[in-house]
Amino acid sequence: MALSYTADQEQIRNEARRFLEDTFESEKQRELLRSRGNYDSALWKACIDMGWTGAGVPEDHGGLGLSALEVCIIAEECGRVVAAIPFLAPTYAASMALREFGSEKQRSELLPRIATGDATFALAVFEDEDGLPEAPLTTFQDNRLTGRKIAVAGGGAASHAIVHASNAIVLVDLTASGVKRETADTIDNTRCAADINFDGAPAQTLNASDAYAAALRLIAVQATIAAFEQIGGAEGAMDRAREYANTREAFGQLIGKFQAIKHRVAEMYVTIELARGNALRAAASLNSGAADFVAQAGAARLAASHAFEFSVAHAIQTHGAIGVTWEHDLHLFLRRARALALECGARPFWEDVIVEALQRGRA
Amino acid sequence: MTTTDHLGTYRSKARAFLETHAGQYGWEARRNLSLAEEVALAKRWQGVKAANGYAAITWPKEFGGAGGTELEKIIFSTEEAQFGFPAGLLAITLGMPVPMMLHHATPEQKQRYVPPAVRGEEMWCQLFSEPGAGSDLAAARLRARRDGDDWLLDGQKTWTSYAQFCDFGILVARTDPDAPKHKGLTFFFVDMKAPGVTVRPIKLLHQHEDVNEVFFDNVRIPDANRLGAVNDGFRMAILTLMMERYVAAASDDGPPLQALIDLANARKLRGRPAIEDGRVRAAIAHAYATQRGLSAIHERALEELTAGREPGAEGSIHKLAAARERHAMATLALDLMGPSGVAYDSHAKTRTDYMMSWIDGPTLRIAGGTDEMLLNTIAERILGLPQDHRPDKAPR
Ligand SMILES: Cc1cc2nc3c(=O)[nH]c(=O)nc-3n(C[C@H](O)[C@H](O)[C@H](O)COP(=O)(O)OP(=O)(O)OC[C@H]3O[C@@H](n4cnc5c(N)ncnc54)[C@H](O)[C@@H]3O)c2cc1C
Repeated sequence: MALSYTADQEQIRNEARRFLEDTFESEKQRELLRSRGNYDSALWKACIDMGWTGAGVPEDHGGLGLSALEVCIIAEECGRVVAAIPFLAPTYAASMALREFGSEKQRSELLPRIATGDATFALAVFEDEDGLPEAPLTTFQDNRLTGRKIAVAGGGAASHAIVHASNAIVLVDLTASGVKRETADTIDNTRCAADINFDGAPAQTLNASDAYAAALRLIAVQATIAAFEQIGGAEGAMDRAREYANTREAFGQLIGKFQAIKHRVAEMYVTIELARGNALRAAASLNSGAADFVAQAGAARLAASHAFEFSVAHAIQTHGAIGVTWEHDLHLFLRRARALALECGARPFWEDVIVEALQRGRA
Repeated sequence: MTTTDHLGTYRSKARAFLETHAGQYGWEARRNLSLAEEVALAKRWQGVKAANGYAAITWPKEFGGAGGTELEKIIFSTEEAQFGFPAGLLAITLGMPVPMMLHHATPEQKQRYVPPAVRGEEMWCQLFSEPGAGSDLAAARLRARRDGDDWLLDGQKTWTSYAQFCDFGILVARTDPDAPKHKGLTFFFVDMKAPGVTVRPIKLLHQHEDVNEVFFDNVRIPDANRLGAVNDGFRMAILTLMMERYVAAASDDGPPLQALIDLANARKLRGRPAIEDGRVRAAIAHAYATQRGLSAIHERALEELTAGREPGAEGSIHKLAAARERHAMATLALDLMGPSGVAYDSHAKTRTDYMMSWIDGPTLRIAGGTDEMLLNTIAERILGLPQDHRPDKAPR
């Protein structure tokens, strides 16, 4: 199992990093936060031009046919600059769903559109606070979908959704009639989150024999990519703390000489490396189709959520008052950390997933 | 054959070798042994490994090593740890003192000292710490005075692991009391049986006598026992501590996670299986994430080594995170046992007993560098943060 990057993968990382650093404007980010349901459409368009949406799409459907790991690398770089583009992870999960459960027709219709960025996806699986429901209230009958999914990341603007219904995993065109989206003011409005109501919306079934297992697998895919985004965010926060500790003085010395500060930064690094180990392993399990994938994705999710939230909290503390101003970038990270920690299943949900997998010997 | 194939074959051969000896030297054989008996077992086991090409895997054959690669060594020790072989008792001998000999002693000295250690016939200790010099190694005060072609050692060392069983030791001594503290030390090796050396075991909190006080009373050693230049001992000591750039610390784990799950299935909390309790589930899930994270870090370091790159902070991260996690798991396990969790067996092993794992936690967090020192290392060496304010380093 390869857990280190190849030269090609390093190349992808460097390119992504350079591009995002050049493009990122924190001022714009702050602007997007002011109102609900936003994302950075210009940046997303630039990402499409970079070919990122095609990364996970097979070559015969117009994509680059890269593995999950390449998408993860890109996600990590997006996380580092808290990029306001909530589609990368769910869109990869959707292309995975199409590849695994889609008919030839569904695949040839949609995968090329994903590759060109014409179709963006959201994953709509949660109905209340209780994680992934074993028996969702959302129903699918006669090719019509009825029900309500909540807090769907990217749901405010995605063109399509993969939805977990009571008896099926289905594919919905979110621009069709019978779909109503309600965006809400959230801690991070740039995640473009929405509750989505389906009132007899036209939908197509995907061929997954066990809908619950398929839905779990799909959020595990999304969670794996999100874990890299979280790790990037955590590193972004750590780098800021490190830089500040190396420049700010108090009591006649750099604050980085105070162990209370220096150890905070070292602890960030430890949480980040633990998360990275888990996330790389989850991506490798995903690629190899290993039986422990879902549990490993859960571990990646727990570790990465912790790394991001821990790093941001301590980065802010390291900065003192400047860290809690609207003008400083750190609150962008703070918001994103909480949003990502809740977005594809909160901590208690994943803890249960892991323990149940361990009990069944699938971890 | 590709590297991966080769390593696969290496692993299965090693495993077969280990399996045939597990009964005689593994967990079962070690149950209820005294420390002295365990040391004896460890030395015999080392002999068996040497005879089969599994001792000092990376060292040259002319010194009794197997002439193998770093990866083979790590693979072997990871496999070895699964069976509970008593390898840890010789980890210091083969980890730091003897490698220092291998690097810095004369050819004759190497020929004299290295092969017997590889065969498990002689054991070495590391006499760095003193009552007033632990984390602050450069504060060492044990004196070495020149006397013709010899040196005379006077003073005390402490916390010396397994000194009571050792034949030789490496140490740093103060040779110039007037120089700034980092500049006045010299590095020697000593015969632990020499006249004037007294070793007194110290009972640790779990009643094991792993460490000792060692007193030096006019101990005479020849100048040939000096490694490195006079007054260059601090640098040599740091080289010693960096010797094992990447140590696969797989062996210091407590009971496996599966044992905790079994326990949580068997025990009840207010009439319900403990495994259904959210607190228990959260702890298990977090332990899983920590262990998987650490093992991935380990595996990645191996890949880096295979690719000829240098791994980074893996050792520090491992010691810091594994000790904390182990303590949390053991505490939970004892809680699940309820009042009966207090049972204590001083012969129990950390790998198989939660009480022993729990009580060993604080020791683990101090031995080989405290949490604070590890965090300093990570912050300064890896993250480039400034060094602590160090008045002791300022010129006088
Ligand atoms: C089981 C065991 C085996 C050992 N084996 C050996 C051995 O074989 N050979 C050997 O030479 N030594 C050995 N040691 C000694 C070990 O290396 C020291 O105990 C350790 O380095 C800490 O030193 P100390 O005990 O003097 O504590 P101190 O250095 O006095 O530390 C006391 C407290 O101060 C903190 N502190 C000290 N300096 C700093 C700093 N710069 N920044 C922040 N906090 C600081 C420490 O973290 C700790 O919390 C062993 C110890 C144990 C427990």
